[in-house]
Amino acid sequence: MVSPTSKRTTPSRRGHRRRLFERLSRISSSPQLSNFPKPIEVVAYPNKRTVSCVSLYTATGSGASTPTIALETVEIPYGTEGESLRISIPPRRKTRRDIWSGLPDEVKVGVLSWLTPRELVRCSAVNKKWHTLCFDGQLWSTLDATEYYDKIPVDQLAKIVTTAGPFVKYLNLRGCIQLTNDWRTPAIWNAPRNLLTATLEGCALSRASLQFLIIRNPTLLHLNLSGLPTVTNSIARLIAQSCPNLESLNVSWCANMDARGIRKIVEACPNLQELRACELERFDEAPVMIALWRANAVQRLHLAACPGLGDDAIRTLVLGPDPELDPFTNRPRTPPRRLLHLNLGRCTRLTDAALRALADNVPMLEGLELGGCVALTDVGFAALLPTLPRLTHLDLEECTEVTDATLVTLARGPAARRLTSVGVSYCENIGDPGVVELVRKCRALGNLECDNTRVSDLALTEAAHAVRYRPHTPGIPPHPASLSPRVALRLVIYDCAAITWSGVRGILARNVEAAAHPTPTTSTLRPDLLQLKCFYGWQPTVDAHLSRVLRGDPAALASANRLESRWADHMLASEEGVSTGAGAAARRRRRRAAMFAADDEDFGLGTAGFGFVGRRRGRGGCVVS
Amino acid sequence: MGLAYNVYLNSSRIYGCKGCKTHLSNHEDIISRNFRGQHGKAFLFNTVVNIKEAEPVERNMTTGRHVVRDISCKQCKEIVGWKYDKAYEQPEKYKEGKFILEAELLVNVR
Repeated sequence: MVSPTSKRTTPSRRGHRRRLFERLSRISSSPQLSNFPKPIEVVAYPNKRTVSCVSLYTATGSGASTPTIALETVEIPYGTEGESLRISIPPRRKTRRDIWSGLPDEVKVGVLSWLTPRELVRCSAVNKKWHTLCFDGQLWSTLDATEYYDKIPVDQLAKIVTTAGPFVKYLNLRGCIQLTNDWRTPAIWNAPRNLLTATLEGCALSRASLQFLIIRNPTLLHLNLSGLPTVTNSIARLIAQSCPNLESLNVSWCANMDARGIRKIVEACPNLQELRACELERFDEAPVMIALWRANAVQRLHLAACPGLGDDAIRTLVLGPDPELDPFTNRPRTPPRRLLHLNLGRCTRLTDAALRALADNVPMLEGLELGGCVALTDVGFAALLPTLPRLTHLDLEECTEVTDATLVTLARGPAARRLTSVGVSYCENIGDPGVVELVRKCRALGNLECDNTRVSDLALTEAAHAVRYRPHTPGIPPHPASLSPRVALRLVIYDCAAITWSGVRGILARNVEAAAHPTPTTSTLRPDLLQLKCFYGWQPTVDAHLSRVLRGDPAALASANRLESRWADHMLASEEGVSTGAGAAARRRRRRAAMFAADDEDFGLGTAGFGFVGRRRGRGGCVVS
Repeated sequence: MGLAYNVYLNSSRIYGCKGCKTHLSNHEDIISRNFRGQHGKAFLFNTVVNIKEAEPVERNMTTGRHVVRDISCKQCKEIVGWKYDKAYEQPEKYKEGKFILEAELLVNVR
């Protein structure tokens, strides 16, 4: 039922109905509605038989409406007796230009909130209204410049920060060196007022700007000022005065600040949970450690490479300045520390006395990094490790005095079930006994780094065996839905002179076997594999093999098998040399001897210098600026 | 032309220049640690960022003749190691295109 005065002749009814509903759904708080001369009327037509009719006809009628707008009345089926609802709406225009301008500003900002920052900046160039809209503060409450810090010019960045100002809650301007000497920079740092997180690593801001920023943002929770030379002890005092809610602070490598500033912050911020203060001086003085001890709030403490850090400082940190002695055991007693993660890497002055001080006093410790502390020996670890029941990460890189006894202590300690990552790289006294014990006892071990140690093929086979027959952890039901293999243990074993290609080949074979026949007796239905990072020459083959085994289907396993046998043939052929005549065995022996004596400047494990698959990590594949 | 921005890496263990802490490489990019440089231990890396390469020179190392070029930090211009351009011996060919960074001139950033 379309009157001849309507603009459209009858196309399909479905098109009509669809367009009608689109228009109805667009009715919002649009200023056009204020031009409605007629209210919505509900009319009941009891005689209507055709329920499906949605008819359009112009309701110009009698000139009662304003002549400029000709309303259209539409009927929608309503109710069960064939009644219909008659609604008057403005007619649809051919051009759609005015829809955007009819929207209220909040809706426009809501539409723009779906764009990425880069697109927003581009859209701001459309016209003045769009410029104000795109730089609306609500869109920029998270200003994370990590993706575009090197592409955004300083004027746009300044504009964003100054207009977003009080709205910005999360600010990450790492690496924005374009802000260094610009005239707009003071305005930038004066703008944010309500920051929760600020990462300013690598922006060289002036001292005054940093002071303004800190004073104006009392709500700061996380602050990252690492590497800035303008951070000094007076800035630290300012932080202590202005930001009482501070939860995490990173002032690593701020060369002009030292432990005295840290002390002020620790005393003033009771919520401080994470503190990173690597390579800061004067940590050997007692007051800062006393402040840390008294507060006992810090959970993650990173004091790597602090030159002054010695045993006394650790003792004060853990026990306090004057610990009372337990009358029964005559040992110092203090409430346990809340430390979860402790990083004391490269603090070369630490000895076993520090470990003994830590023992019994950090029961909740989950991560311990002591890489580079060369003076630590087995004695200290024997005292410390049995008292850490929740240890999951342990890093003992380059602790050359550590031997297998420590690994055995670790494996037999209370944390064996929880350990996930152990790093003993460059510990030349670590060998098979310790590693074997570790992989046997630690079921949850996911990452073991023992490069540059004395581990040999025996440890590899033991590890594969242990992973394959890992007992299932109770309480977690195995999900039989996915039987695809997964990597359960990652072993890093490059540079180990005692690892040969036959050991690696054994691991590849075991991976295939584990994927092909998962052992249901252990009730872990997912086949657990080993991932190796081994000598560079074999790495492409190992990686290709692993990716095929991970697919899990029989065709992939068969191709993995073929790859392995081809590689083994290649290695055998290259080992035996061109001619298999007399003297080949002697040549092999000599080459093996030279292999074990390899040091100085290069690493040569036989003549098989490159993987068989031939995918060389190409030359010139460097990422240079 | 343009400002010299630093490239930042995303990893759990990053090695950086000792002086200015610019990110140089990841722990995962290490190929081998069994190397020796002028200052002691040195590591062989797959990719390194934020460096400047010098002119190639031919040097005789303990493993043979190589063509190497010194690399230095982009920010503080300190020499941090070298890059292998060409190796004349067959077993050393795997080093071509890879970088050596000296452990003494590196720190663990993160």
